Amino acid sequence: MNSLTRLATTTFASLMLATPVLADENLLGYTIGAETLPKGGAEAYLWITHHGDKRRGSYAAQYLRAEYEYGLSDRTSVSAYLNAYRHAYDCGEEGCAGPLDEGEITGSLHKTQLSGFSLETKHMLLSPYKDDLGLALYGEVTYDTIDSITGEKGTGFELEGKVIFQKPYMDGQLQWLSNIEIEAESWKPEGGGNTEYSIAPRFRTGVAYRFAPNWFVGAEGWIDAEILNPANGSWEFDHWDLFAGPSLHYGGKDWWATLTWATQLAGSDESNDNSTGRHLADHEKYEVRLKIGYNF
Amino acid sequence: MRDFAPLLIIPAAALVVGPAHATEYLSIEQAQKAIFPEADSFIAAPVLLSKEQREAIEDRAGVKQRWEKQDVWRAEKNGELIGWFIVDNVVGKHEFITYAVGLLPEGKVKGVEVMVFKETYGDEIREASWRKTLEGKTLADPFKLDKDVPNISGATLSCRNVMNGVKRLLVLQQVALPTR
Repeated sequence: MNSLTRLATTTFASLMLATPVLADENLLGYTIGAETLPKGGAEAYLWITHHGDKRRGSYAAQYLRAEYEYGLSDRTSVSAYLNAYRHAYDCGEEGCAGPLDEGEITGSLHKTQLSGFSLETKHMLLSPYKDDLGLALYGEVTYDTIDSITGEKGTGFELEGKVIFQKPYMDGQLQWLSNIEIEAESWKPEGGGNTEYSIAPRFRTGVAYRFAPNWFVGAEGWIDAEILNPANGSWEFDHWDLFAGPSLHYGGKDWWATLTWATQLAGSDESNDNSTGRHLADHEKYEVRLKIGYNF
Repeated sequence: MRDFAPLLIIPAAALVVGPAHATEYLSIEQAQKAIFPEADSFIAAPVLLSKEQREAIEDRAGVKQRWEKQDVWRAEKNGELIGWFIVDNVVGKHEFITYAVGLLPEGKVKGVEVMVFKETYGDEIREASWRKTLEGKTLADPFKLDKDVPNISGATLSCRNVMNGVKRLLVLQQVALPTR
């Protein structure tokens, strides 16, 4: 862990320990709801997403995000994120993914690195409780200096947009959430090489049911695809993948936490000599996400 | 799960221990006195609803009557019925919100008191200014947020469900309670 990462982690941990906690909440780990913070409300989040196992070798990575969100009005909120990655892989010369004779993600890396930051805004057009069907728009821009998959250094920019739907049932005891997303990214590796670009549309959907006071059980899934314009190449379809899994959420007066496990159910093979029916170059066999939030 | 960094969980684990909050604001007796200060007795008259009655309430109120048993008291003065005192629960964002409603015999809301509220936002529904917007309501009123009942930002679900709960109890009064 380098000094910058240690400082960021310590600062965020101290903030969490020193301040009394409140709550706005994500009922699911990946699919978000349409509600926004009220005007003047503020919230801190900590995200930890574990990515485990590729096609070969030993591969694990954790994506870390610390977020601060503020309600500009009763319908519009803004957020700032600090992003970091921890990689722990031993992929050898043949690589953890890709063709056997031309492996991807090679060598070993055991390191935690601060990568960059994101800025986000969310605007609620329709309230799920006043208008029956909630509708919100979301935009996010990210600057990254670390490749999320390999941990290599470079310069990346990302734009992400979402249309968010939320439908409550049973007086709000059951919630159905859906997000239509599109993501555009650029990445230029450090030390030369041209910039590559990608565009990834995605659809997420899930339900959460409050089975006891404060406790929700849920399930969600998503399908995404990526169109890639590699350095010195031209636009081409790269891959698609499908993930799904269960979710458990606790929401109290002061804080909330959501734990989601998702496995890759299907995807396009990442190389011709791999017929596992999963895409294991840009994604992994499973993900586990813990999100914790608390309001000020 | 291999190579998960336990260090990273420390801030998360620290959150699990949080301070408790006092969220029970009124006892039944306090709520009874607040809504019907002129009453000299409250006589327990719990109602056990039949399936047909619950369906009728849902049809007319537009929201589900979740309970078969509803806690009801006759508010009396000098032996005469002056109203009904009903304790009810509605879904909040995290827990049930417990509140009391006083209904006049002619089917009009006399008062509302929030007894237990544990949500992050929306403490304002406990304030008289919001509760007073429900006073005097009858089934002829629209019961619409931001129309005849104001919304509280960040607590829209709580506002909607308490408002709908009051409407449901007005219907319950017509379906299951005597006029005298």
